[in-house]
Amino acid sequence: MSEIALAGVSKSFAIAHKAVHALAEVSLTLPKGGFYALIGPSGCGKSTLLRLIADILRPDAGSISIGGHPPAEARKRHEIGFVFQDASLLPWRSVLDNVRLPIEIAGRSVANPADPMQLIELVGLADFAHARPSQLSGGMQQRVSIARALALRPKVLLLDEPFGALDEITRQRMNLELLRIWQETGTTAVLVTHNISEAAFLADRVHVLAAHPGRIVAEIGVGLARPRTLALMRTNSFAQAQNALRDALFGEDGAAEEEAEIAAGQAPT
Amino acid sequence: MSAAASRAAEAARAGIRLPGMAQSFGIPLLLFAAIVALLEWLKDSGHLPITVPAPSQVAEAFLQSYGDLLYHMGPTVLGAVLGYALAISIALALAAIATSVRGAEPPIFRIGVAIDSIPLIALTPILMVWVGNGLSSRIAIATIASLFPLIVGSIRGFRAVEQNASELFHVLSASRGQAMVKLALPSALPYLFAAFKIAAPLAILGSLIAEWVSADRGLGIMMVYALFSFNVPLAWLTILAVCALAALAYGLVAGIERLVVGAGSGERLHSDG
Repeated sequence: MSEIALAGVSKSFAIAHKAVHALAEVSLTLPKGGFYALIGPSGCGKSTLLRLIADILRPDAGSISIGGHPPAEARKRHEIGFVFQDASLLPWRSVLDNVRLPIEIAGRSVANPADPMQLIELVGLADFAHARPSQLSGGMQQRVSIARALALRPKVLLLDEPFGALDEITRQRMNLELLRIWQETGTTAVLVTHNISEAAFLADRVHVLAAHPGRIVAEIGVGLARPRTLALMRTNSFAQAQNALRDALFGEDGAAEEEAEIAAGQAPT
Repeated sequence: MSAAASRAAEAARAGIRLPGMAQSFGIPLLLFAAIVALLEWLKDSGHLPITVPAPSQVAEAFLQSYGDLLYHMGPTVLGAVLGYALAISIALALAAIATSVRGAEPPIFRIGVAIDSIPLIALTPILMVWVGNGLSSRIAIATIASLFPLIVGSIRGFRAVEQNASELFHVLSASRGQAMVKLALPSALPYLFAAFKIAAPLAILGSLIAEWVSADRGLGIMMVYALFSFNVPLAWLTILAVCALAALAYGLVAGIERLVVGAGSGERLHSDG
């Protein structure tokens, strides 16, 4: 429930003694409570962007704020939840103890953490609370990692291609579940993905990135009504939203620069 | 796969798999009994050279001199345990330097390789001139003998934390202490214990080598006396005793590992497909 704002953010890495511009002059504002997607080809810096917001990386130039504060402050106040591409669970801990980890680390500095058991129920794993991560499927592991990210009731939830390693069927099921969880928690969600239909299905607004250097080339509002269901994916307006994203990713540069707004029939007011 | 087919596959696997106790004790015991019987028969029928005794002769030697055996075992074990502990301390310290100081790993690794390639049997007499021929020489040789795998395992263990896990702890604002206790240590333990298990029998052998060269007490010197007096059954008894000690050392560390790390990850309960 915090607004995220980036102004003129640049980041480069030294790879083999050469500076690689991962991000150049990125500015964007993500109003609080929304669901946002960052989409782009490999190497466009979308994961870097997410890591800058989470204070895992520091920008070379520009400023970032979460709810008006620098990311480091938001991180120390445990306002950031992060979901990695691989679930990154601690294999020696049970599902319950993995979800409990952030609460253990925060200690008394967080006033009202979520109940780990309720979170496990929220992601539909009540029967597996005492299982080890290695006993679970990839999709279930990722659900545990989402529950873990929610343990301290974060104001922003950052997801770095969380379902990228899952098969299409599991991915769609996880997308539905993620929407339900996001709606129940009311957190500001930022999803990095390279899947066009995933971005269109989940997000209120999709930011399209291009590589060399990493930059935002389009900002596309997805005006599809919520709650979104799988039936929505068969509609024309969903196809239009996907086409607009595809145009921004693959179309001529000129067209991609413009901000396109999808006027879906059932756009919310 | 259908439910029936998967149950059948499960049953087939269970059929091949033996119950735990039979698997870890029954088969080795059976094999051991077969070898003993074979050796006994070979010796009786005169097919074995004079340097190989019948198992019954070794058993007889054990009954006659198990008191001596225990008397000599003490210093060997003490030297090995202290050398092992010293080697672990050195290895952990070196691994901490190797993983925290940029560029320190290659030289530390090379020193480890150099130490490991020293012919201990030749080094021991020289070392005795420096440290004396008592407990200190046993400790020194046991340390050198067990050091290298400990260095390799410790460095690997200290590097075992995954990038994402360490980023997770950063996002969670974990303190250094929390990251150490909740992440670095549990990540390192499997690698550390692998090294501890390999190094434990090596420490016993190191202590033994020191005693070969010079000692007033110890399994090594008992072995040398048995060899020089051509007491073949006693020589083999000491060899078996050393084997038993080395196996016990390994088993002890493996037991501690099970207590500390837990009984493993178990079977997969669920899959996406």
